[in-house]
Amino acid sequence: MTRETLATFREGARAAVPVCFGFFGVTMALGIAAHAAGLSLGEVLLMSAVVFAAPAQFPAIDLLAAGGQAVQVVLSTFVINARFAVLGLTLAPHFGRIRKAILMPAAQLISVSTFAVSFLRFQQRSAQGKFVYFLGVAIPSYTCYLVGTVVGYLFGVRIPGGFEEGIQFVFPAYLTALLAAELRERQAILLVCAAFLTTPLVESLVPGWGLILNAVIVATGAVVVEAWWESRS
Amino acid sequence: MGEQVIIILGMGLATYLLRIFPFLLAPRFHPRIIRWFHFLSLSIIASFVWYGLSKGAPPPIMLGFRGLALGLTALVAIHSKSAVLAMGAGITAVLLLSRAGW
Repeated sequence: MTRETLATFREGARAAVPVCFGFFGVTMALGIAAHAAGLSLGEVLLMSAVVFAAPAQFPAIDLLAAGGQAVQVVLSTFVINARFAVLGLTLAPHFGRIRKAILMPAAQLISVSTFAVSFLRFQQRSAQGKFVYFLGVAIPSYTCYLVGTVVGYLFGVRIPGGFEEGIQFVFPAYLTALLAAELRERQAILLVCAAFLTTPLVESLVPGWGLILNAVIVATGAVVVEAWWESRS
Repeated sequence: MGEQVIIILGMGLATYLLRIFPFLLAPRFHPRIIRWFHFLSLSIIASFVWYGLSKGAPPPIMLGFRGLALGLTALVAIHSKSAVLAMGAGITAVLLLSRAGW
C-alpha cells in the first residue's frame, strides 16, 4: 500500500466519524429491539453483517418476532433495499477500472450513508482513489454498525430521556450538512431543494414508494430540462 | 441451522444481489445517463433528509424546531464547509429547541 493510498484511506475514515456515531445510535436501538423480540445475539449480529441496512432490519425483526413467513420477510427486505441498486448504478462508473474480484466483497459495504459521504467527495479523484476513499469511509462505518448491534443487545442501553430528538436528528442533519458543504453546482442545488420539497407530496400519493419514485421523477425532469436548456443555447 | 438463520441469510442474499448487480453489468453509459444517475443520487439523498426529518413527528413539529435546526445545519455547513461542525450545531439546536417546547 503506497503512502498516497494510505492517506486517501485515512481521509475517508475521518469523513466516516459522524456516520459511525449515527450508526452506533441506530444499531444500539436495533440490538435492543432484537433482544426484546427474542432473537439470539448470533442471529441479530448475522443480520447486521449480511443485511447492513437498518431500515430493512427493524421491520424484519418485527416480522420474525410475529412468526412471519420467510417469503414475506425476504421480499420486504428486497423491496426496502431496492435503493441499493440505484446507489450501485451510480457508483459503478466511478469504480470502472477496479477488478470485479475486489469489487464484489466491497459492494456489501454500500449503504445510504457510506454512499452519500463517498459520492459527495468523489470529485477530482482517480478511480483507484475513489475506491480507496470509499473503503476508508465504509470499513469503519461497517465495524461500528456491528459493534453497536452487540452493545445494544448485550447492555440494552437506554437513551437518556430528552436525547431522543437529538439521536433522531443525526441522520438528516448529517446528510444536510454534507449536501450544503459539498454542492457547488447551481443545477444540483436546485435539484436537491426540489426533491426535498416534493417528497412529502409524492410519498402521500404513493406511500412506501414515494422516496424512490420522487427521486426518479425529479432526476428525470432535471435531465430533460438541462438537455432542453443546452439545445437552446 | 435454524429457520430464522435461513431467513436472515435469505435477507442477506436478497440485499447483496441488489448491491452487486450494477457492478456485474459493467456499465458503459452515455454521459446523459451518467448525469441522470448523478441527479438521481442527489434526489435520493434529499428525499432521505425529508424522511429522517419527518420520522415520528407530525407536520407542525417537523416544520417547527426540526426545520429550524435543519436550516441552521445548512447555514453552518455553507459557511464553515465542515459537515461535522454543522451537524453538531444542528443537533444542539434541535435539543435546545425541543426542551424549550417549540
